[in-house]
Amino acid sequence: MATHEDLIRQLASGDHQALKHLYAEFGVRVYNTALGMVQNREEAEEITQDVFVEMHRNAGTFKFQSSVATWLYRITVNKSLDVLRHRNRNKRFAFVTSIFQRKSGELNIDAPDFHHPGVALENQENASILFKAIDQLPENQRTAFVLSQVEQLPQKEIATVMNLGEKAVESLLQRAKANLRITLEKFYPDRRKTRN
Amino acid sequence: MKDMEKEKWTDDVLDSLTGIRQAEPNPFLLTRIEGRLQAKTGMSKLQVRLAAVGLGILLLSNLWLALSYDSSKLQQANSLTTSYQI
Repeated sequence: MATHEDLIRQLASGDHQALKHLYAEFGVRVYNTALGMVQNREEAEEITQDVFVEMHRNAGTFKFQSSVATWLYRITVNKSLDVLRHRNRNKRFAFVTSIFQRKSGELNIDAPDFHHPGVALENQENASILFKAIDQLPENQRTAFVLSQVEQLPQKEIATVMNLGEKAVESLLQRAKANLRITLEKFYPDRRKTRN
Repeated sequence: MKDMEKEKWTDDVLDSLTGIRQAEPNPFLLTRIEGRLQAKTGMSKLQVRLAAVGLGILLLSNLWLALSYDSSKLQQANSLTTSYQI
C-alpha cells in the first residue's frame, strides 16, 4: 500500500493512477473545507479543481516538510480566501454602483441562504443562520472555526495548517465563538419577526 | 425570561453543526480535473503521434521527389534555353 508521500512522488513522475488515488483520499476533504469556507457548491468544486491542478503542478517540488494532508488543506484555505476576497471586492463594487443607480431599487448584494447538505434536517435552519454569521467573521477566525467545526480537525492540525501555535488557534476559536454569539444576538429579533 | 430564550436559541444555533456529515462533491469532479490537466499539458499523446506521422509523410514525400527527379529533364531545359538564347 503506497503512502501519501509515495503517491506524490508517483504523480511527479507522471503516473496518472496516483492522481486517482490522491483524489479518492483527499477529494471529499478538500471539497468540504472549501464548501465550509465559501458556502457555495459551484465555487467549492472550482476550488477543489484548482487545488488538485496545483498539487499536480507542484508535486515535483514538494519538500515533504509537512504531511500531504496539511499541504492540501493549506492550498484549499488559501484558494478559498482568494475567492472570498474577490467576492468582497465585488460586493463593494456593487455597493458603489448602487449609490449611482438609485432608480434600480433595492441593494441586492447579500448571498442567498446556504444549506450545507451534511447537516441533519432538524438543524438545517439553525445551521443556515450560523453560516450567515460565519460569513461575517474575520479571515483567520473563519478559517479556524471552519476547520474545527465543519472539517472537525484537532487544534494541533489546525495550528499546522494555519502555521500558528496551538495556543493561538485556541484563542482564535474563542474569539470566533464570541463574535458569532454577538452576531447571532443581532439576528435574533429578525427571526422573531419572521416567525410571528 | 426573554434573555434566557435568546441565549438558548444562540446556543442551539452555535451547536447546529454538531454531527455534521461530509458533503459529496459532483461525481464527475475527478473527470473535470483530469480534463483541466490534459488541457494544461497541451497536446495529448494521440495528437503528438498524429503530428509525428504527418511530419514523417512530409519528409518522405520530399525525399521521394528529390530521388525521382529526372536529371535528363534538366538537361533538356538547359539546351532549350541555349538554343533560344533566353
